[in-house]
Amino acid sequence: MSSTPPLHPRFPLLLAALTLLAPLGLAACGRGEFTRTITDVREHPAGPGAGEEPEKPEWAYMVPEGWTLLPPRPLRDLGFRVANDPQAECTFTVLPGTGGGMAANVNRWRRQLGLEPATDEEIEALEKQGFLGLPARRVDLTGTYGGMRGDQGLENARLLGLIAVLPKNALFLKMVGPADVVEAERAHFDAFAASLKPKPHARPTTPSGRGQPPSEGPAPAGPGRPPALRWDVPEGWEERPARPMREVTLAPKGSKGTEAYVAILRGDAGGMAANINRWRGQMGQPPLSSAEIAALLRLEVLGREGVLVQIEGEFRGQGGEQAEGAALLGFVLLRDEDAVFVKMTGPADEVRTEKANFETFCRSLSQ
Amino acid sequence: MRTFFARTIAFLGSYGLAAILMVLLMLLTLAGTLEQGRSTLYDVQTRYFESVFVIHYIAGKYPVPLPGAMLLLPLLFVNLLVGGLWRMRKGTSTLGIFVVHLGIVLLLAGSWVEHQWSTKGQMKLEEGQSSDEYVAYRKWEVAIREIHPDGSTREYVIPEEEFDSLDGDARYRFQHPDLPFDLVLSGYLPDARPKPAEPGQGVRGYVLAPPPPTKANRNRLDLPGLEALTVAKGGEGGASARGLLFGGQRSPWTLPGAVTGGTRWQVMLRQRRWQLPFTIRLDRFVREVYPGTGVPKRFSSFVTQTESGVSREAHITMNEPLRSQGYTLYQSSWGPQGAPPGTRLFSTFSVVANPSDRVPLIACIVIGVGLLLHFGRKLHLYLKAQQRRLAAERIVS
Repeated sequence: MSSTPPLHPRFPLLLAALTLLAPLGLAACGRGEFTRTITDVREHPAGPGAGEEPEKPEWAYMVPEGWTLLPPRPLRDLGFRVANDPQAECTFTVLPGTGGGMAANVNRWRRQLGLEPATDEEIEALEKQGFLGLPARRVDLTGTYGGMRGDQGLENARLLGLIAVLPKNALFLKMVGPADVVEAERAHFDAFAASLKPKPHARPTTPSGRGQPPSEGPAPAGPGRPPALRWDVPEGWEERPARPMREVTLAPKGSKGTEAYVAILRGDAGGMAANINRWRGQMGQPPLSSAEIAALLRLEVLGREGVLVQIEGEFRGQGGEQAEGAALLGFVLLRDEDAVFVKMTGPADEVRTEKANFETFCRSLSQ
Repeated sequence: MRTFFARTIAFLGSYGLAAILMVLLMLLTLAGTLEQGRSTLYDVQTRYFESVFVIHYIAGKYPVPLPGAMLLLPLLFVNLLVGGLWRMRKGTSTLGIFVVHLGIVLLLAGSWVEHQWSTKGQMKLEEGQSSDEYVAYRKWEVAIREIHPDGSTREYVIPEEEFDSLDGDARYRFQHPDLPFDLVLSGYLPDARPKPAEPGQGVRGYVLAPPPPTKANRNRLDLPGLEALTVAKGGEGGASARGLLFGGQRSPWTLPGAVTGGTRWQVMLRQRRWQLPFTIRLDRFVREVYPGTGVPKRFSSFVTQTESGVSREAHITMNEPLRSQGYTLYQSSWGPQGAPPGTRLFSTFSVVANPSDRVPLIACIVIGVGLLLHFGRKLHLYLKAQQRRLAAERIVS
């Protein structure tokens, strides 16, 4: 006979229920305000970057005369006091994500000036302007500026701004202040916007800045970064959806088989001859000698001479696609730090028709 | 009649339970593998293999509850302890299996220790730079930094575990005797994006909101965010300041002088940092590329490790890490990628502190010994039986 008293038959069930319900009770205890004491305290001796403000190496720009760089803020990339006027400032912000979209931000600025929201048609009619190589909308508003907190009450204020919304980032450049100051600084605003560029190989610093190259994680990344070049889209061409490793993809409107793109590779990417002959190989043509390459047509682009090549034959793409009766137009430009490639492929008759547009496009490339 | 305790022990150590656990682990692994087609690796790891329960959706529609690995593996551990070691019949015939079970128990225990107590991060150094810190990949901390006039700093650090439950109305007030204010944290979002706020709303012109659940956003590093408010110590009167802390912020939030009494203070949300007991200086980074391309062929780092004034040189490569005092530094990566010749490069080390770093190796050796014992004995018995059979056949013939 067992000396251990028998357990209640429902004991296992009660135990299981208690085990399942206990976490819910504990979670409910987590509401309200509680006080905790910080126990992790770290001392760092003085040294390079020990307590300094982190650098902002991401952007290169020209500081207009009379503008003063303001201390950094967590969500603002750049801020300036304009014309030494305490009521006038210019800020530049890049937000991850769409930031709410074009219409929401235009109307948010309008509300800051005490204006009624604009309609979709009015927003669509806003002047388009290139900003950091991106399509942006220019906003020019006057009213009573309430500021971000809505409590400033600056009468006869003016706001000049540029908004560019990409799938992965939203960029805002905004100058606001007394209307006469903003008018006087309008040229400086445009010059600053034109001078703003991402620094090559820019790396954001960690907040500690203590001798560590920063983590690349938090910085907005991906193809949403501003492109390195600018261009004019030839008449009759259109931009196609972005693709990896390409600055831009273009095609004649309505064309299904013809496509052009721009790619930039670091270094010389193998050199002029290797790349031209690689294209010739894609078209089933034998390689050219150095003398033959030297005799190819030159185009002056970005202040240098690049080589233009036209090849016809059977196209074999890198993805294995094949096409007979195809043509390839290519342009290779070697620079100090990189190589620029412009390439167009498609049915031979279409490519021949677009040759003039191709050359015009190559010549339109600018920094 | 067996007692409840005896029946429980018998159940926990039974072959039946072991078989059920194995099948459930197999189903969990299959479900987690299929889920990776719709979620990121990190999401699946967290939901399926670092949880007690998970709801798996077949074809994205039909929910199926499954026990998570954090329930199955501890049960398997108990099953092995009870059935595979304690209650197992012990003798020369089962010695090999006993040792194998011991090795598996060791492996599971080592995994638990690693899960609970290991830290993993990265350290990036340019040539000539030194550091004694490494930065977590996905863990965060709030740091309140006091900057002294001589440039030294003192940081009061709040780890993520102390504020990652602050959703909704929950608020925690953090204090320290040496802080001139208390810091109240609230509104935590594990993945946030700042959006410009309407006039009069938000904090300093912005609000934090979760990003849209697109595949691109799921594949990105989560950037947490939360609200911060400085209040007077004890909460009575005094100046206060509100700010947003965001994992992707450009610079720390500098507190106004009215709050800090004139001293320079900053508050930031940053990836978690751990201190090493030694300093690493990158002396030289070597990178070889395949000729005619920018594709890296081989890269390694020559470093100097300094501790208590004593320095030693080391060479860290992909397959030859630096091990010291429970820390392991692996050559992980380098950058900036695609840099033209002449660009100053940085070397990235993965740093792992794992108290059970060698346990998998030891466990595999133990399992190997157990298998040798078991199958060695089987072979020996077979050969003996064959000898007896052959001897008997010779006698007959």
